[in-house]
Amino acid sequence: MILSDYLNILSMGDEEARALGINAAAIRFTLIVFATLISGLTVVVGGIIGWVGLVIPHISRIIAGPDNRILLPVTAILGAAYLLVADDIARLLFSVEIPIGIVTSLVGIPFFALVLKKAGKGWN
Amino acid sequence: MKLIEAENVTFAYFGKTVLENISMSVGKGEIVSLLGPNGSGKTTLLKVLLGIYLPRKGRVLLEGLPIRTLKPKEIAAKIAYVPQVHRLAFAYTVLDIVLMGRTPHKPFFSRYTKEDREISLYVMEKLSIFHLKDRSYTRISGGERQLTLIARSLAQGANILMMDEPESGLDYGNQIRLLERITELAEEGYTFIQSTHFPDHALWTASRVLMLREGKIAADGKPYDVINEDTISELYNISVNVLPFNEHLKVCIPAALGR
Repeated sequence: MILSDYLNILSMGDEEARALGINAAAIRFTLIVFATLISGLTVVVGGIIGWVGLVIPHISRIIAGPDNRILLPVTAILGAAYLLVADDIARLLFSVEIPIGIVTSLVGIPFFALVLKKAGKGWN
Repeated sequence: MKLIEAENVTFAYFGKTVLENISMSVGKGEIVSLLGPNGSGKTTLLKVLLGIYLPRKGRVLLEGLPIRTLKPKEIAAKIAYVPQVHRLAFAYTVLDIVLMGRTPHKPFFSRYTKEDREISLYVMEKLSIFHLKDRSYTRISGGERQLTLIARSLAQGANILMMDEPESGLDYGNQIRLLERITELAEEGYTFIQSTHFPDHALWTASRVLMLREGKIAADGKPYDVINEDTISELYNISVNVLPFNEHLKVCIPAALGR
């Protein structure tokens, strides 16, 4: 989140970023290292839960717009809330606890199909 | 004093020579127009001068210092790049785009300050796009986008603006208004290096014309000395008439259409 200003600039393209005084390659490398580290740690703790990272950022982009300064925190909160709800469903819907990955997939796959349909039109 | 200088610059992409032995220099307040057919190396020359591409031979000097020894931040404080008007996928507001120009001036981990915002709003006021500040960049016209990108360059504090075909994609009125803006800013001391496809635009606004042909400088001089029937036909392989409109202005008319 500290680097979200730079993330915004990277979305303009590498050469423009460079002309704005930014070392695009170095920033991208840093961001990827941290993102990998964070998601790696999350999987270690939570296990494999699919269709969250694919769905939530799209929803939050619709809500918050493209500015990473707002988008990143919104995504984090939304993702956490979504997982909490999915977890409740997984534990309570049946007398046996079903894996949470099943719940997220059931919601995520139809949603992703919708997003794919919309994808050609661009974001507003 | 020369702001920016190229000394015997040669540049190649994947073994294909794009620029060959280019030497040129630009002083304060000049408007330099780069003319040349597609693929003659105009854009590449701009990027070499910006320090984005490093030349294979020769060097580029920015205020006397070799550009390859300068950090991107140091270059960005002096030279700004105004790309061809682009369509962004993401809908940033106009103010956000202009604010990006303040990046070289802020410490790495800090946010844009109030002062950054004030500078951005000031340059937007100056280019009369203040009213667009909260509009989405994807929903304004091509001319307004071009002004937004120029505002970003001014916010960046750069006094050299590199523009790659700034008039492309603009309607006739916006092209002329853009040329007027550029002339005004040059009078204030800003320096422009721009590639263009219109000899007329070079005749009307440039203080210097640089003609590029197959990566070499074909001509370098004042527009009225350099742009004439012979050089244009040699450059573009069409015949034209360059006619005086009055003592200050000349126009370039394709000969085949004038009969």
